[in-house]
Amino acid sequence: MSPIAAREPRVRRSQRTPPVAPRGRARRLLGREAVGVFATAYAFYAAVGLYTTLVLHVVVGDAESRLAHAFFVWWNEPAKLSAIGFVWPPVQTLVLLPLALVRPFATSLAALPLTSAVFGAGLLVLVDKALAHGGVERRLRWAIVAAFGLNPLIVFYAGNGMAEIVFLYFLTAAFALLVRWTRDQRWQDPILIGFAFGVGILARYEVAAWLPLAVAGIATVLARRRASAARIEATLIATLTPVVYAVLLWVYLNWSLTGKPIAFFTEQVPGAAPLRSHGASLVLDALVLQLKIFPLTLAVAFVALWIGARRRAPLGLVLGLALCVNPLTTAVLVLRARDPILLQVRYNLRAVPLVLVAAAWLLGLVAPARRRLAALALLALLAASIPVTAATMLRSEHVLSEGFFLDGLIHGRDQDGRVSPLGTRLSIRDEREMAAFVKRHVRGGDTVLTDDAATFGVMLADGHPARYFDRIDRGDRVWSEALRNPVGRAQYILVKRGAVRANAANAFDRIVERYPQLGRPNGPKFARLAHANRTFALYAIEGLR
Amino acid sequence: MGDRPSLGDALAPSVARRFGVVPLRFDGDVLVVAAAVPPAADELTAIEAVAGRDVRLVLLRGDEVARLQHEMYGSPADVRPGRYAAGEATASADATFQRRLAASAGLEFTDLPPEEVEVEAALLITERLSRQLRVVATSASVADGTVRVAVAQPFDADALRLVEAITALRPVQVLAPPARIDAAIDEAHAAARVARARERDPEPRRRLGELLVEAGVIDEPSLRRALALQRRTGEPLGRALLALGLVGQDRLAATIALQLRLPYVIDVRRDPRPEVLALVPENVCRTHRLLPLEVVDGVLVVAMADPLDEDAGRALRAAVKIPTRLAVASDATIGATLERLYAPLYVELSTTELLRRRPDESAYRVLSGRQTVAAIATAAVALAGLVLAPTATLTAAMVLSILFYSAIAVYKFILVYRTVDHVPELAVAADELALLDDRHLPHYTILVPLYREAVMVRQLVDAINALDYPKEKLDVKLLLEEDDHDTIAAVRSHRLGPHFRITIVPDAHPKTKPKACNYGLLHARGEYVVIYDAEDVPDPDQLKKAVLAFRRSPPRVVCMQAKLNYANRDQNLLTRWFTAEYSQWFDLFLPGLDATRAPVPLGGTSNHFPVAKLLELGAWDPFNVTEDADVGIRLARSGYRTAIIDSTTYEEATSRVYNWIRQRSRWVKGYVQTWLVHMRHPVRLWRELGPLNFVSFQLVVGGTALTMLLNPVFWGLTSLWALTEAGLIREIFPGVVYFAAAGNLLVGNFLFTYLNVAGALRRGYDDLVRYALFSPLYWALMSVGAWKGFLQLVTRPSYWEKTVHGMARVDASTPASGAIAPERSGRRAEPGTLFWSGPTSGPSGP
Repeated sequence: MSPIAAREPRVRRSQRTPPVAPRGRARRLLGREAVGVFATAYAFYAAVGLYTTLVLHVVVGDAESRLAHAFFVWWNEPAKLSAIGFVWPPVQTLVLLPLALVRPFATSLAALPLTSAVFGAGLLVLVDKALAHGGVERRLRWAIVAAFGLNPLIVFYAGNGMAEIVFLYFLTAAFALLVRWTRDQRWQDPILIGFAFGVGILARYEVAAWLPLAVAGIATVLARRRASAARIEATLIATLTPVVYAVLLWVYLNWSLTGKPIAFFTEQVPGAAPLRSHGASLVLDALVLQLKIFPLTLAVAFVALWIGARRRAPLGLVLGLALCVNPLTTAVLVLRARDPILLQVRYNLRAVPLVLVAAAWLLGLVAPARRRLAALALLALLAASIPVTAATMLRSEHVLSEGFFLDGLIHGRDQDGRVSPLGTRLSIRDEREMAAFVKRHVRGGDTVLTDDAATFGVMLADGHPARYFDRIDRGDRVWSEALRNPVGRAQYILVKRGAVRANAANAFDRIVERYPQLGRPNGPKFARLAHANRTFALYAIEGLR
Repeated sequence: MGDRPSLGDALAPSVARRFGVVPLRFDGDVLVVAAAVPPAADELTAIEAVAGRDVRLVLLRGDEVARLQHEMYGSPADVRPGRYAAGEATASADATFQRRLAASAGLEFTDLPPEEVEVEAALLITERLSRQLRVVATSASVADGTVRVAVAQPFDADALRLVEAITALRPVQVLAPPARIDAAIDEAHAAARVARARERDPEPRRRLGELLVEAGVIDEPSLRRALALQRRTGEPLGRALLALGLVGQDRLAATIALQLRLPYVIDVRRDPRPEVLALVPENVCRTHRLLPLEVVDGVLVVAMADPLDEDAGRALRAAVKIPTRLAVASDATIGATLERLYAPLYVELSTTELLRRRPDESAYRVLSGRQTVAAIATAAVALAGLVLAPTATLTAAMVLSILFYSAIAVYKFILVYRTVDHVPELAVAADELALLDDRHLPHYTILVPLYREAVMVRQLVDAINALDYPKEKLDVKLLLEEDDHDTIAAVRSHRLGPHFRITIVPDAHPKTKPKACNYGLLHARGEYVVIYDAEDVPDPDQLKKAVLAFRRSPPRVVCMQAKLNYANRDQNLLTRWFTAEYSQWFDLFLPGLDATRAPVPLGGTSNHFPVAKLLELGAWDPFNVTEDADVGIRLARSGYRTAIIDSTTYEEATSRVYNWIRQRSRWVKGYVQTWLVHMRHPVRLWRELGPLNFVSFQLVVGGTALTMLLNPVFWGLTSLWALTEAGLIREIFPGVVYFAAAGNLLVGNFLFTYLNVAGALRRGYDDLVRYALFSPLYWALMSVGAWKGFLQLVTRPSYWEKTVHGMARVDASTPASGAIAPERSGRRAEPGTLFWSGPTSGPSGP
């Protein structure tokens, strides 16, 4: 008997359901169920995502940027893996590579929902399996999965192609595996946990904040089971090796291709805006945001911590702390970046699926007679959080496109052109209009000098990145030389107008930075405005070298 | 043996008449005697002792025997006093004379009071012999190995030898009055007759155990023990007695002969004539343990170990067209004689059977004609390309290599994932094993090829004896090479149980393990067969697990591969890496192949087959140095499957670098051989395996060897690029090719390294995990071995690079190596001791 089970005096032995891994037929049934859950969820998320992306034009700029760069990997001339970029985590782009290979999927942006729906559906499968292992009966389990899966934030991120759902999947997988390993001690689980963290960190760097907890959990559980030092060492090596290798690989790639090994970490957030809040109030803000996003988080965290402390169950403490890490991480990141933009809802989703993993573990501790009741309570709370989350999405000042998504769904309105409370504008039409102009009037390769970090939307909509002389083609050095003296190097210059502020330095257009007066009477003489819309401007380059 | 006497002097007339035999002729040193009624076994022993030579018995009609006796010895009145007719000469001597005689001969004298004669001892010599020789055994001590015999007149050396032959104990003679000796004989044998009469079985034939007890060979408790074993295993009593070591094969055969009133053939010193041998087909003889001896008066005398074997009787009747008469010989005698007689045939069968039946599947030739043409054409195209368009040609080669690497990496990852996500091995629970009824277990043949492995014999015998399987159902064949005198001597110096059989493989080309195994397989008597190497220590329950796994599996599964691992993993860095690699191969990769129903290249040992299926497949290819991998593919081509069982055989990891490289070179050479053999007809292979398994074969067998060969090329290019950023390398790795190569380098290498970590973790070798992280250094050694093997394929394709074993230092505290006797710790073989062995796994790194 495990030390945890040994400290469960309140539940009679006869009532307790032993945590046994499903075998034989049960395992096969669970496998079929997983397929069913995945297929249903994928169809739903993909359908909603396609509708909101293609019809309502709710497209998050970051998602579009990742897709554009995945597209450039294949379709740039020459094809360049380095097009994935070296600032944001690479997995976000890598997961889009398969569909980016098919040009219509990429240029229409359909690749975004079709890809993220995979991870959204996978997330629901994880939750379903966690609940099954927690002993929740099938129909109730499905209801809980549905209540969670229909949470508007989950629906939005499962269908918008953003990296959030990718890292949520891997983070949740890591903790679901940790729970399974604690129960079954399957040799492969620490390996899978390691891979989940390794990929998860490269999907979103903050996932690393949960790694020490998981490692501590593994070590503690092993120590409690009187495992040998060699066993503890081996298990930790197996867990950490994929993580360390993933990070080192990324560092190496950054060093070899950009010469800055840890720029992805140091340059990710520029500290563009002054921050007036101090640490404690930031934590408080983050906690409040947490409650508004998914109120169950803190309640389940409290119960898990209480159970963990009372029964000296390391897993309870680990899960409870994992739910608390989110607001702490947010506070630390905001303080470090000195930028309150990190209080966005999207940055505070991290713990949401972990709530279900923790809840499933807690349900497994409840006596079978009461488990149904507890599961029903969970279902009710999940259902109740849907309007709370929706309200936050619609009204919070920390949202990007979440409100557009709900608004579009509720009213069926095209959201193109709307500006979020944080200042970002949906500009799909402008991109397509400019791309159509370029396609009609510009011929030849490397003809349009542009900063792909700002004009990726146009390049993607065009579908022919070879037409553009961008920073990917021959690297920043060559591109910067061309920028200093564009005459004779290109025929056009494409810029993003207005230097719309985003959350990363390279979202600014470096051409606009170099020539702030471009197109104005006192601007450079070699450029003549050829075409412009609300977001983009195309200049013809005139004159001799 | 001294000069040959005349036939008349070869056997004393009185003895001949008393035993109803007559000398017929000398057959070499063997005296052939005829009898109408076969003498009892101990009587035959007595006749041999008297004759001073081996005796072969032939059966004649009674009147013919009498006529011959008359011709040789004259009428009974003319009988010359025999050497042992002393009894009559001293019949009237009195006690005083006897005392004086004893004093002069330096012997003890006894009045032989009744209480001095132990009935059991007296019964050691049959009544007839006792009376004839006027001798009675008064007591026997098995501990001392002596029997005290009361004689009327001091015995000479021949007479003592006779008594020793009869009792199997060294006689210590005392003199006693003849009358007292006669009385003692009367008393002892009368008591025995009464006892027999009381216990007489209604059946006319007396029971084997009874006869053995009566002869004093075993006692009642021993018989009960044997009967209990018989009930438990369902085996005949004779085998039970043999298994318990209560009786030797010769004694058993002699007693069976006595029981069945058949002649007993002690030994066959002279080969039967070819025309006699030709009367029974060789395969009938081999399968049913028959030996045609002689044709006498149109009747074929056939020796059998078990004359009650109905199958053998039917086969004999079907095969032989003339009347037969049976005799009994020990199984060992028949086996040894058959091997001596048919050695050339057996060598031919074990060497050329596959080549004869399926020439295209033998590695006798390295390349077929078409393959030679294809190789030359490919080389020509490559050369032309290098001359005309070097960059494009090199790029094309890189692309092909990268695609191949990527395919291998992806496939291996899929296979390992299948293992991780499922438990594909056939697991057998302990309670299932406990429920197994020994009576229903099949006979199992264990083939152990040995070559220059004298130092391993003790461990081997211990490991086989530790198997939890009824010994009487085991047929362990120690396959020894004819020229390996040290190992032969070492094996013979050990006290081997009756389940061990020594088979000497005649010296012939090719001298390979598969040839020896084929030779042994010809004589396999089990329903199933498994191979173990000399240093193998299988899990004790492995055979039972294999039997259960076969019963549970569909008929298509004809091979159960147990996992292999190493007992001396902690010896040094090399053994640690080797063990991690093995753990990955056998615990992750092969189960994955099993789960995907792909062809499994078998490991070198611990693969279990139904004998009939293996014979049907043509057994092992003696020209292939990874015959195990080859047979794994061959069985897949024939529509059969291999399954992996959750049982491990522990071996000795090679601990020295050069030795390791030799071993690896053989494995890689064998993999290339296997790939070439099966690719002689790619379309046929595709049809037989199906598309998926065809691809699997390419990636597993071809890929394993090729990656080891190509690795140094890519490491070299990578190093060159890192050091010089040479323009040529940039040119041959354009764009996407570069990304793919980089992906292989950065991701593929990590995955392959990590697989070793996972393998060690799965096996529970926690202490190896940290070393597994440095596996890439080990891959360099793999490539050295690979190139050595590849080049040797050209120069010496069937040469067997022997692996030196016996250098293991096994820490008794090492987990999972407890099967190795702790006293082996630190023991080393003599320098230069060579060993066959090693599974032909081909673990690969990218």
